[in-house]
Amino acid sequence: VNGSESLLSYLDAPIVVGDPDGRAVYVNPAFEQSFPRSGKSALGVPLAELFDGGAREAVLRGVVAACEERATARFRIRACDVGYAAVASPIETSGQAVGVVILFKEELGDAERLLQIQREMQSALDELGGTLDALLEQTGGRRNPQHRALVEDGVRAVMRMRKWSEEMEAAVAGRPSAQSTDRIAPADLLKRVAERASRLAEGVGSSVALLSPGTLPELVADEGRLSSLLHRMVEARLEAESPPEILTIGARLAGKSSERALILSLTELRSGGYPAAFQDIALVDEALGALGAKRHSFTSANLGRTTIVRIPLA
Amino acid sequence: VAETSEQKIARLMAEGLDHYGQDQLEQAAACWCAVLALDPRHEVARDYLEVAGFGEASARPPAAGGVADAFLREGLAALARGADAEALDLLESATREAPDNLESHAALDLVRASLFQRQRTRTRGGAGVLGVKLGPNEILRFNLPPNAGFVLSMIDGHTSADELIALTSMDPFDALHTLGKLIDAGIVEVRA
Repeated sequence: VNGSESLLSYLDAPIVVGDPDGRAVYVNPAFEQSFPRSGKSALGVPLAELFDGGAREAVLRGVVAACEERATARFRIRACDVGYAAVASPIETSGQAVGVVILFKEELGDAERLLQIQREMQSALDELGGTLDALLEQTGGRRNPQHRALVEDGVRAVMRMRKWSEEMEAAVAGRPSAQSTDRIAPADLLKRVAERASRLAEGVGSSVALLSPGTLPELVADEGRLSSLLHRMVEARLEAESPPEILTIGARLAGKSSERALILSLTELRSGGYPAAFQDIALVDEALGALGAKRHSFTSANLGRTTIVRIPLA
Repeated sequence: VAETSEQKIARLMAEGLDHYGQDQLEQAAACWCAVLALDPRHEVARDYLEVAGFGEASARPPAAGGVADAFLREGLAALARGADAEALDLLESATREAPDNLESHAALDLVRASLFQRQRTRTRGGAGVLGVKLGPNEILRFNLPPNAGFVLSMIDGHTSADELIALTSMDPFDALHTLGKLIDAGIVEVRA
């Protein structure tokens, strides 16, 4: 054992060597770092007693298998919140069992591996977010609303990715979901949507009206997703071939008690109306479905057309 | 200022007769069914339905869906002929009766958006300053509903329509619609 100490001490994997009675005679530095009982205090202690709980039982079986049955035993333990795959092998000299060596290899469990992936994704997202922010800053002064809107779409997508990445981290770590407690003040959200829509409307000769009370009951939803969805629906209408003369963004409550819902609407007023309902892209319906919302369109030959979104409040 | 239940019944009865006179039996029946929804003991509406061949409909209390459908049909008909104010009342009734009917909600929001712009035009695009034309004693005779009283209390001869909307924190449509009714009643005027 002494001859191999210098070699074993350089290994990253924790190693413990026991005598034929199963008592510790050597632990390498990696073992000292990884397990609570370390260094000379571990020497002479039965190998199994260096561990607690279920790990103690597993090590004991491994030592018995190696020392008494002279067989290599493989087992898994968990100590200090880390999982290890262990191999216990007998040490033999001239056919005599002179001890046991146990090597521990740190295992990345599924959860730990997911967390590692999540951290890598988060890091990449932070970089992407920074790049888009810089791009937005540089294009913000230019009078190119479409270019700006595209970059802003990207920024919002990164925000959503960040949120879901954090959600994954919470799920893997067993923490409660942050998304489910995301409470939105719809009236404030609609003000922001309307302000941005007004700027866009100026460029296409339209105007925007907001018909919403000063306060509305809070919604439990992903604010980034809802905001992005509404921006997309508004922009699609203002950038259409025949934009409305006035785009009205509306919000009001409908129903009673547990069946109460928020009715959001986008009304395109135009002299002569429209021949058909506005066709939102399929992604809009998918996103609305994820919010538990329903969409419906109505067209009037003389006034214009409306798309409403019903979001349950319960 | 707001239409009372009796006024609504009288209007629906008259509209039903108009439809009946033009041989639009379904629309006429919808109006009279809507009357029965407001007053199930309305004998005249029941008689009209029987005479028009809808005796079965008058014999049973109208189902909620049926009443809502009747309001929606009438609301859409009013919208199609450009009677937006009438469409508003009918569609509001339709959404109250059937809050899950998205067609009613969508049509209602289209009417609200249209009427809002009309009222804004009346108030000089929201920039017109509002003044009260009548004295307190004369106003008392109108027996105003609470929301109309609230809007009226904000009018001081210096505040514009847009400022009033912002001050009330009400839905801008409700605020301007109420203001429009006060103007119609001769209680409020728009000044330069």
